[in-house]
Amino acid sequence: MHQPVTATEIFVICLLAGWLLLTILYALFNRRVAAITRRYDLFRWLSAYQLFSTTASDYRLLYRDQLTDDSMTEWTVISLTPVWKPWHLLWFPQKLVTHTIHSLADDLVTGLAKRKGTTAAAKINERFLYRALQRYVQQQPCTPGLAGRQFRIDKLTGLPGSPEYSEAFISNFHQP
Amino acid sequence: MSMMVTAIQAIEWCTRLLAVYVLIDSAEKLYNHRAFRPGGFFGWAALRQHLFFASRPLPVRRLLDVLFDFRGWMALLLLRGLSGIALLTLPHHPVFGTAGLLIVFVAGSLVNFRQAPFGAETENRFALALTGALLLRSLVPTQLVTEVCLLFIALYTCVSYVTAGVTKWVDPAWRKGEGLLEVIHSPDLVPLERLAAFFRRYPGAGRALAWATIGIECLFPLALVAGPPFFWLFLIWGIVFHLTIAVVLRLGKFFWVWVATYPAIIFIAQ
Repeated sequence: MHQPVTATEIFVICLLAGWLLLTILYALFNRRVAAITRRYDLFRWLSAYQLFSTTASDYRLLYRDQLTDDSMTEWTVISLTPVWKPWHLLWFPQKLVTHTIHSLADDLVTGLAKRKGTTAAAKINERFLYRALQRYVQQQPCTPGLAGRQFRIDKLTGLPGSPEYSEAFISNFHQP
Repeated sequence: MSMMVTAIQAIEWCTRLLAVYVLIDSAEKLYNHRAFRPGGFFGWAALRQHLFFASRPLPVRRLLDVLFDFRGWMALLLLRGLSGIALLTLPHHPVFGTAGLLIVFVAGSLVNFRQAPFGAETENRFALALTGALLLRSLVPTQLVTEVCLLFIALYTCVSYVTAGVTKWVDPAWRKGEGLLEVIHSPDLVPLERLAAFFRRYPGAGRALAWATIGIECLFPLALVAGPPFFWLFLIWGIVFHLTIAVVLRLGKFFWVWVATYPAIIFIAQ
């Protein structure tokens, strides 16, 4: 014999049904409602799983130092691609930082391209992503006599198999 | 011998596989503890200046200063990791099971909140839906709620696959069959030159694989209605698909969270 459905059960079922419905709506209209979800979905409970629908560009991050005698060091490449190892299948903590740096570089380059010539582009060094990249670059090993450090983002432009990079962004010099 | 999976067994295995993800993710974040120190890349001192946090009311900011500062954050991650161990070993325990899911849900939500200026991690967003459903079922463990919880998990997984499949389908690069090749030829995503060289030599194989991926992702909901033994084909494809992604793209955590939903799919589909 069926037991009557309780109010608690109805409440839980409604919660799960609502979550599923909102997820479907978010998958359909995520671009249109992005401003609303950014503001109200603080814990990011809604998600649209548009995995690999568009491939982000490849970048490399470089820095160089200005020394107290006004000379410059050569550009140093910071690897954002840790060498592939079999255990990365289970354990890959390096990805946490390198993946975030890569996303920030992509956001900075694509954001600048969209806002080219605007005040927002001129004030890019006040933005969080610029300062986060700058902070990361400043943490790299110091050259003796360091007076300032500058970073550069290069975008991969070559054909598959013959990688070539072109400059996509260059920062100001920042004191250590 | 019956091969039927009961609702309780399905809940148990969903919880255990989810716990593996929670353990790996918490351990990886604790391993990166230097990045969370003051002055570190994810340090709270810099993060709290972001408008997303700076615009909150003062009492909220004070609470966040305690939770998100180095010590508070490490303690929370440690607690999340320990909850993962509890869920892995005692998924049905009336206290540890429910408390573990509650901690994993709250800590996972805070991980997304703290990470907001950088963008929340996809696998954690998916894991939160699974954790939320399991938590609700743990609080109201009746037969009806248990079955609805498993149905929710199965449908949520189908929505994720269909969304991924359809967005690839409407993308011109994927429609031309180039989408997968773009991923494989990206040295940032796949630093395996030999694999990239193989697909440069045989681009047709890449295109066929791209269309197969789109097709199976879009058709995945059929797993729920195809019945045995056909639904197993979708699940075997899913395991191979996520394992390949884990090995090649080094997105191992995706494997655990998505495969954690498969016991629910088996229960609904059988």
